[in-house]
Amino acid sequence: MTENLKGHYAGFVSRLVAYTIDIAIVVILLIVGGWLIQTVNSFFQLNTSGALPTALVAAIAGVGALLVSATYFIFFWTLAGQTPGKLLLGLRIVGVENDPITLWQAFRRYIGYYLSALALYAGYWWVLIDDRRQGWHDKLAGTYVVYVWEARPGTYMQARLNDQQQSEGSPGEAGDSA
Amino acid sequence: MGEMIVVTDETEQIAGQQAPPEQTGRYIEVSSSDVKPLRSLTRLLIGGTLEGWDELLELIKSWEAGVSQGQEPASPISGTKPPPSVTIRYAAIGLAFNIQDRWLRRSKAALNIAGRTTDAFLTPVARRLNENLRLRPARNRFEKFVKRGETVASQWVDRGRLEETHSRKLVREAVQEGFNSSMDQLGQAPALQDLIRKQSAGITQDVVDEVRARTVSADILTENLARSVLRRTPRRNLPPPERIRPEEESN
Repeated sequence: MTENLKGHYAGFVSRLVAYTIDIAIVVILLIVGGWLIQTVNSFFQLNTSGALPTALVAAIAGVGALLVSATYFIFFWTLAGQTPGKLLLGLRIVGVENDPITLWQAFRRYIGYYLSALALYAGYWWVLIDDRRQGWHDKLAGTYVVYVWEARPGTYMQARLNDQQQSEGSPGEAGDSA
Repeated sequence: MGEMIVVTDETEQIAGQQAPPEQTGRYIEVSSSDVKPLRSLTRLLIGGTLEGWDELLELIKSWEAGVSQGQEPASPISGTKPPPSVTIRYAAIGLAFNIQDRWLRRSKAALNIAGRTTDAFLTPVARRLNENLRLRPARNRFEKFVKRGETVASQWVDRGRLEETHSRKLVREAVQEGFNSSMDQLGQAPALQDLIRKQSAGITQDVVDEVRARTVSADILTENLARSVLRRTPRRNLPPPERIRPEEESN
């Protein structure tokens, strides 16, 4: 039987799914925010078209989106150590001594997201090969992502792992007995 | 009997429909604003019976339609002979239905005969009574009596029509109210609320656990795949963060 993985480092797919959920939430927030701004604009009949250059409007919107995203992630990481997506997947970000992460760590981690994405998302892929399953952003902030639920693989994977363990254990046992 | 009131807008409003023009000003006993328990109970009984009967008829119709849709025509003589007890049962059922049909036919025929006989007997008598001049005062009084009877009967019809509508509405209201209050009470029952909450939470938790378990499997699978592609050794199982001490980290 595979051991309970609670407290162990969380893997790539769990983190990717949690991140996707968070991105979806941020996108929904941005859409709702944009709709609200548009509604207020039309309610007060503010004609802003032509008042500002399109590039500037796009830049303002981009900075706004960035701020919303940063606020979302840093707020949840600092407050609970997990965003709604991570909460759903049973993951938490902790410090090296399993302590809650600080605001400064959260800020560094968020900056690390962009650095990890720079070289073809190599910083994210790093989770797959790192022994502690840390991405570059985790290394930068000194954080780990761990399972906070009684994590076990699915029944199929459990059976496969058990078979693997048995096949690896048999020659040794045979050797010992010999 | 109770009080006699003129049919007014108020009574029409209670009955929920316009009274025919010829009724206006006529005295019909329909109470409106004052609620009398006995009267309301009577209305509930009448309305309940009428509504219940209608519902029952509708149900019976739908059942019959359902049965006749799915039923294959039964052959009166089957190939194998049933046991005697079954044959007796069939015979008893057939007899009951035959008796019922016969009684219905005979009662209809009897009513026809009774009608014709009465007509044949009374018509000559009535003609003689009508033609007899000495009986004219008595006939006039009888006609007045009949006319008064017609008026009273007409009032009964009007009242019945209004009361029936009102009774049906009252019963529907009572049933709806009863249903709503039952649902409210059920919804407020702590045991039921607890059960619903537990079941909903249980289902959600099951789904979440399943998704989590699958992602954990996928974690292991993708990691093994990536490491085998990169020809790296399988991941070392390092102790989780809570077991890491500063000296271990420095080492």
